[in-house]
Amino acid sequence: MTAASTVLEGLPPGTPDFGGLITSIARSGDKGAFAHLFRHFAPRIKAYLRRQGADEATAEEVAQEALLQVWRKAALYDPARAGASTWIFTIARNLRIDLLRKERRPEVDPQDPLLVADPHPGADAALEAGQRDSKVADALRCLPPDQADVVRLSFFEDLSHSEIAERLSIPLGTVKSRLRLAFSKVRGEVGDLL
Amino acid sequence: MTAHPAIHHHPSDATLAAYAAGSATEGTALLVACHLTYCPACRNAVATFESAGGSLLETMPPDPLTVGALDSVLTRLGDSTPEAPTAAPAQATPPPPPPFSAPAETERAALLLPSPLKAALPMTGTADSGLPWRTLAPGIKQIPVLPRTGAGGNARLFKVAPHKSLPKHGHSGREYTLVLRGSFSDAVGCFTVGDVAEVEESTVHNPVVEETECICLIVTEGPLRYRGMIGRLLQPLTGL
Repeated sequence: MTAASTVLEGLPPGTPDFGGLITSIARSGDKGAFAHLFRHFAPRIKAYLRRQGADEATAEEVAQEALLQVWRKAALYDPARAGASTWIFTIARNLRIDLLRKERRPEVDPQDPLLVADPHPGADAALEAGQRDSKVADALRCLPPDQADVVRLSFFEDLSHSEIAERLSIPLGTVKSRLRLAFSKVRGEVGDLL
Repeated sequence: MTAHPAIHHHPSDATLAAYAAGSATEGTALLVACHLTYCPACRNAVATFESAGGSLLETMPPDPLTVGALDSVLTRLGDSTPEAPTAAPAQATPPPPPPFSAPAETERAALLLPSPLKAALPMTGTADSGLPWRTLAPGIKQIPVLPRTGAGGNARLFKVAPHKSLPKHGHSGREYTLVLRGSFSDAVGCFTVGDVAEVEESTVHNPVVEETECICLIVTEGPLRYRGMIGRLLQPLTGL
């Protein structure tokens, strides 16, 4: 064991299909697949939680809990609804709301009699979820840096628009318009603007 | 599932993204979840923003875990297997906790409130009693839904008689109004069931109820500042 070595190796380039790893966990309790997911996502979930203000120990604990939930709920993962990293993000997000903010997240109830159904359900939902993810990833990659920065700050550092303006030393109106443009581009790429 | 007239007024992208990111205040998140019940277009937008969250997470610079973390988690897994899927439809997110509202209360059922709001409403006691409306002013009743959030905002259900205005007030922080029954008009247009008015801090607006009684959920992200004499009289009574 090397002294002071706390680095877990990241995945090599050509990363395997994360959705496939989750499915393998669900089908056969594949611990190798779990280890791959852990090595990629646990340190990133930890980083996410640190940016939200969690201390080192809490961030690590919650990151581990998130991956435990990935294991436990692997059979509930539905590629038709979301890509793998999106699903894992929602697990981390919900844990953060539950454990760090100590709130409950209000969500749409799929059994709600008031629920208005999507009038244009896609023919192949899994294809659509995968396409959505790759289009969103492309849109984010292509954002001008000043828009990408405000998106990252608002998403991952839980800063209000005023706080972002202060952090970047730009006017509040500039923050709002950069976010508006960025979100509009992302939605536009996916083709779901009203 | 119900058919529904089209929704014309939606929360902003910033609000939907905040909901997707988990950074919306509790009241705002509640209002968004209610709006999403009526609005497949915004559900799609939220899915898009969640996908952005996933993409950003996947490519984020990692923060290394302590040595042996993976081994200790593998040990915790032990011989456990992933839970078998249940008969309920698969969800991308863990299911919400069960609502604590009493079943089949007359007014609660008649109002046909979206599930997230039903879950947040205070218990009223006997099965026969209606919701605990409190009169704020002639023709205006309210029920507090959430206590003040950490930022000093709140969420309240309002029932307003035809042709009445909601009290004139300025507000600190953003304010959202979701229509649950009836409709109102303001400078922007007409808002009916499922529509959301989203107003910035600097705006003073005057929603006026149309022909039928209007029930709406109003969320503020900062404390209200009432204007005018009625406001000054009411403020200590409403404890704002």
